[in-house]
Amino acid sequence: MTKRILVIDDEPGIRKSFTVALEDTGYLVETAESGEIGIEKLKKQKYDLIYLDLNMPCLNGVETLRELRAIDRDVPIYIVTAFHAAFTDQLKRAAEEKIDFELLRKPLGSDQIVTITRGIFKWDDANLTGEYHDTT
Amino acid sequence: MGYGIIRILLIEDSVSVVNHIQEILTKANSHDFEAESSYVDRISVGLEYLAKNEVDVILLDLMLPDSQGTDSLMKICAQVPEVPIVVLTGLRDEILAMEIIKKGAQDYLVKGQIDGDLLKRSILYAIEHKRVEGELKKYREHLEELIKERTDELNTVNRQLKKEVSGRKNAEESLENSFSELGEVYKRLAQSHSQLIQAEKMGAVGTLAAGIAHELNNPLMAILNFSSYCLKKTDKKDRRYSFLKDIELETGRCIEIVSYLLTFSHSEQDGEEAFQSEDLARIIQRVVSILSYRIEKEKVSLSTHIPEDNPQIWVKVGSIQQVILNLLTNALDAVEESQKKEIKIEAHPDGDCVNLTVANTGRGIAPEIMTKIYDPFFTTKPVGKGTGLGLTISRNIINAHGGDITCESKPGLGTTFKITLPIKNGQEETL
Repeated sequence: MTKRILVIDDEPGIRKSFTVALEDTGYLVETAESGEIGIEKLKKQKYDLIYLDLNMPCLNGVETLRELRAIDRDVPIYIVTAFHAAFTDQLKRAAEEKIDFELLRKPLGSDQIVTITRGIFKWDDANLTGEYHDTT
Repeated sequence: MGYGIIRILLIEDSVSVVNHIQEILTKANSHDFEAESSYVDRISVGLEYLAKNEVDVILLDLMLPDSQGTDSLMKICAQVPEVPIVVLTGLRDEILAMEIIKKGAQDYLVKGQIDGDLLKRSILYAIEHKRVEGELKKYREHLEELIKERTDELNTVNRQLKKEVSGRKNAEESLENSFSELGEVYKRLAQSHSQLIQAEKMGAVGTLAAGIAHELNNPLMAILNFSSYCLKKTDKKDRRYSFLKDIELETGRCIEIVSYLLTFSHSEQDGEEAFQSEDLARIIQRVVSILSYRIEKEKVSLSTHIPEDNPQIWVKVGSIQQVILNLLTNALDAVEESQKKEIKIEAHPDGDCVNLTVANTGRGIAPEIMTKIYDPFFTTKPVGKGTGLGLTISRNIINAHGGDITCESKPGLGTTFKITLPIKNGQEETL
């Protein structure tokens, strides 16, 4: 089954970076330019992986993360950020509430994006076929 | 107006005159004029009488056996100045008349020309004149008193004013003192203000750098991925391929610079940098390449001596890079105005440690400020050039590595910073 990836970032350059980096991998990449649109998409469609920006106008990354988790508590969510010092406290609180997420540092090159994505799915597949794994 | 019975003393030695006057007085007595008179024939007796009796008016002959002329008048005046005097003269002498009036008599009468009305009028005039004179005198005295009072008041006010003026002078003086004290305080304030401004500038630079770095990260990520994409889609034989490769490489450099900026600004609180094994020569080479433009432009001769077999060290690469960048920047600043512009970087293994020295032929550090060079915000560089934090941060970083930083300087000859870093330390297992 084709893996479906959602990229939520207000910067078109970042969305496009993920799209072109993952173009030949066979994964299906969809994008959302805001947290709100990303949430709407997740309500309608199941995704296997979400890349999420932190610093966005309106709904920020942490707020979006909470909403996404309320819809799907299992989908791996990777927060991609250059700068999350301003969100450290919010992220810490989310982590304390056992809201699951991972962090990736911007900027990411194509090779890194492909490697990380493949790594996540490999691990995820192993998880599906193998024993239960606590992600916290 | 009534005077009651007018008491008259007649000083006259001529009995006929006395009789004549007494007769006239008796005749003149009426409902509005009543007089009783006594008479003496000597001035001495008259003075005695006046000492014992009160009289309302004196009729005085100027030709007495024991006193003549104005002398008689003056004697009487001296004893009873309040009593009016009418002088009796034998002659009509205007000059004498003027004189006796001046000496204190109220009027004068020529003997032989005296009749009832004249005497009566003269006596009443003398009394009234004296009374008015007395009142005038009283009034004058009162005026004088008033003037004295006013003068006293004025003096008092004047004294108060003087006191106030001197008080004000004191106040002015103390004001001046406070003013100069204020000046001192202001000076100190200005000093700490400029220190604060520097600190703030540093903060502002950091914030600005972090802001720029952050803003650049997204477009850099896009450029990096887009150039990678184009590379992937371009045939290696295509001439554009090498240019795309260059874009990718240059973008990588930009990303590196941005990450330096974030390190320097201390805004990158996320993710402590991890220790890793690194070749010191490579770190130095990276720093030198960052500063190569300045080194060439300022015609500084830089030499690096690092033995080939220099061991790998266990460090936070970004931090150590920052330390070397700080030391090399300081060295460049130091030789800026020197004749001899030489900077030498050397590294030697020494047991468990590696010694790194950065030496310059610059102006040197004055002994009296040697103890301050690591103090936060201490700088000798012009405002806007030095933050006063470079050596502070450097020492913190070296200490965090379990190392040591020392400085030797000869004013006018140059400065050498020596860093000792452990080749391996106990934090190895944390990775």
